[in-house]
Amino acid sequence: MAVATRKQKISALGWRHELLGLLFTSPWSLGFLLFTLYPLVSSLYYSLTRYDLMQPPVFIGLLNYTRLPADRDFLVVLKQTLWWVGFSSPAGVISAFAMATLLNTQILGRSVYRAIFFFPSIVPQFVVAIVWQFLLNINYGAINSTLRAIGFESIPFLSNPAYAKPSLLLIHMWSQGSAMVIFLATLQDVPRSLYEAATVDGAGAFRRWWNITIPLCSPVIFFNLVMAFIGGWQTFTLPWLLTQGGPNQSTEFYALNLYRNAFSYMRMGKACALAWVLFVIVVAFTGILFKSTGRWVYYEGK
Amino acid sequence: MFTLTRRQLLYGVTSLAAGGILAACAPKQEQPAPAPEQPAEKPAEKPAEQPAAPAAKEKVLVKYHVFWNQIQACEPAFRATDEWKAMEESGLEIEFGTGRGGDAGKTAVAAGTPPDVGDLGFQLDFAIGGKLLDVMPYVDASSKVSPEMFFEENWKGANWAGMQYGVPAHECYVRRGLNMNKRMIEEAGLDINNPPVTWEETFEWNRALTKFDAAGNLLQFGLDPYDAEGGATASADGWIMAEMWDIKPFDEATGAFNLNDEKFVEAVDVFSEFYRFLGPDNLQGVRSVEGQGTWGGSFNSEVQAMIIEGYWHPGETFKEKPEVSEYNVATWVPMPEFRRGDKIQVFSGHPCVMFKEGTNVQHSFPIVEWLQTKACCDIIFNEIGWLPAVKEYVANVDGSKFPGLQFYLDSAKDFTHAYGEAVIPIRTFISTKFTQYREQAYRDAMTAKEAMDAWQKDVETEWEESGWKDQWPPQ
Repeated sequence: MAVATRKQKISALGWRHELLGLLFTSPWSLGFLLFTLYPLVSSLYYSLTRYDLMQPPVFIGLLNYTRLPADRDFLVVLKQTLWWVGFSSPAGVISAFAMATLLNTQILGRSVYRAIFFFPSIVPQFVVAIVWQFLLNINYGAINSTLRAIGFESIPFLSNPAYAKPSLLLIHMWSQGSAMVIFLATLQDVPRSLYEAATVDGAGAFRRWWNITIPLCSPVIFFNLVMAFIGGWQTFTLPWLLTQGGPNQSTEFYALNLYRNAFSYMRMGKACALAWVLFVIVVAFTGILFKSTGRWVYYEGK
Repeated sequence: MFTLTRRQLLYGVTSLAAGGILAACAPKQEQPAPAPEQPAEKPAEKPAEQPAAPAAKEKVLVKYHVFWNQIQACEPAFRATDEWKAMEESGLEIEFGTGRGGDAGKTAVAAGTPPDVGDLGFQLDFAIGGKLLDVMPYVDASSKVSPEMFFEENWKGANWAGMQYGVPAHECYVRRGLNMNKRMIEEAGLDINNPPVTWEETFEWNRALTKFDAAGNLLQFGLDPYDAEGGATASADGWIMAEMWDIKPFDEATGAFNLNDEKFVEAVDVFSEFYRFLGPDNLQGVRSVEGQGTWGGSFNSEVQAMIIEGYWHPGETFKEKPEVSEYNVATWVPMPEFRRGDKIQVFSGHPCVMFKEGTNVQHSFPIVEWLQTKACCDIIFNEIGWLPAVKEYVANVDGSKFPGLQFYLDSAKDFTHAYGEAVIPIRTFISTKFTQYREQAYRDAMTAKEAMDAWQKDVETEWEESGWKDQWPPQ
């Protein structure tokens, strides 16, 4: 009761402080309201409309959602994206963890290697795309030029439907510097005493790695896996720049199709519906990942 | 001495930030009223001045934006012309922007912040969306622009549902020609004076001009039929397969599509043979680095010996690669056997439009007029190699200026069949799906018939889902 009374009678100074607090937080809160919440809510509304950007939206209920299962493009991109997420998320985590493990050993010039491995993750994606284009191109790429010079046939890395996704996967694994740094910090936090005790007990290198390193790093492996998974569903820049969804739609991932619907076909309503479906898919799959943590993620505090 | 406490500093910065955000989100100032709707009839006498010309001393900022980048090089010469100076002296301050198309341009128009005048691409989409002014009241009031001064098809190409939404400008004229590299053709033992006239003959030329290395890698090829204008379907530059095989892919009266016509199937089969011979993977690789599929550099780099392009090819090649340009010879595009001897040409191009929501759009028509002047057309032609749709100007162009250009000038008179631009609201979808299905065909993932059936089905579905089926014909 006393609390309620105090709340009802805020002094002038109190009001001033409240106002000042709101004012200080206004750049963030206004930004959040205008650039996050408003687009989020409006995209939900637009997903229930037929909207071509130029003319006013026309409300069509759930049609944009109910038509999706019969949409050939939707099924194609779902299949391609599932492949991509299924392979790229674990592959990215494994390559980052492998690089971090290698860099955690006492090798000469470790900081130089660290910088080299981290470098790709600070290079803009379009630069990465151009570099790899000139490495992998079937006609002019450095790798294929070398192969041709020694009498071999070119490999159609980005030109053949069977090779295009694995080639993108290769580039993705190469760009794991950020995850690698997180893993490296985690690896350096694993207490030496545990390894010493295991060694005394007769555990070999693999046993120490499997029974000590992996469990103690599992929360970070989980974190990186979740991030890779979410990023995988949203993959856009590399396939757009390198293959534009081809060849034969083999790299036409979800975000590319969403973009095409929004800005090429001017189907903003459908694109918004695709975005919300993507949101639901990501939340559902992330939920499953979280559910699985009890089986394989080790939290020291528990 | 003035001191600033931390609190005061934070207070000030926060107030500024909040104020800035609020100011940025403030509603736009009320637009000046655009020009009145078109009068029912052309005025008996043209007024001495354009509608709503600015007063002599007040400067009015007019934003004139285009999507091309290469036209940037023309700006100093534009500004130096007497006509441009006269516009400025009459009170206009002209902001000339290039590279303003794409998604940014589309979004600006959708958001109500377009330039006043220009060409951002997607003109038909803007017209359909009601974002453009009817230019006829301005044309009717003008002493410098009239429909009769343009090639008819060029003029008609900027019309949607009876509204003239633009005036041809910058780059127009004719779009079809087979350009050949004389050096490469003679090196292959072919006769440049006896070029292929059917697709069967073109395939034989392609075979003779193609070189693979010992390991089967593609070194040089004759023709990618889907490159440049060959790949255009329902886009701004026409629909080459439909023209060549004489198909009516879309019935504007009923809104019905005819994409799985057996002639389309035959056309896709013919083009697919080129891809199977050259290797789809090889062409995909060339496409990604040579600008193939757009207006390709593979001809300029002498990797491709022939290319289907418009009249601009001679001029652009001359500017970009003069040493290749000197070998350029242009002729009629090949036809299927059943049309042997037919000579087709397409008139199309880019209209300059006036955006309804442009801040000073009512002052911008002088720019549209200026674009038709000899001074402006000369600069664009000499700097880039582009031609307008102005009949009088084109009649006086020197065809020997760029190798191959004379063919195009003659072709505009000598054609046996002329075609115009396809006016279909969902044409980007149609083109994208065609690109996907033709690949299914030449990679043998589908037969040409299956691919065209799937294309027809997808387009019909899109037509319905995008609402056009119920709204057609447009009012």
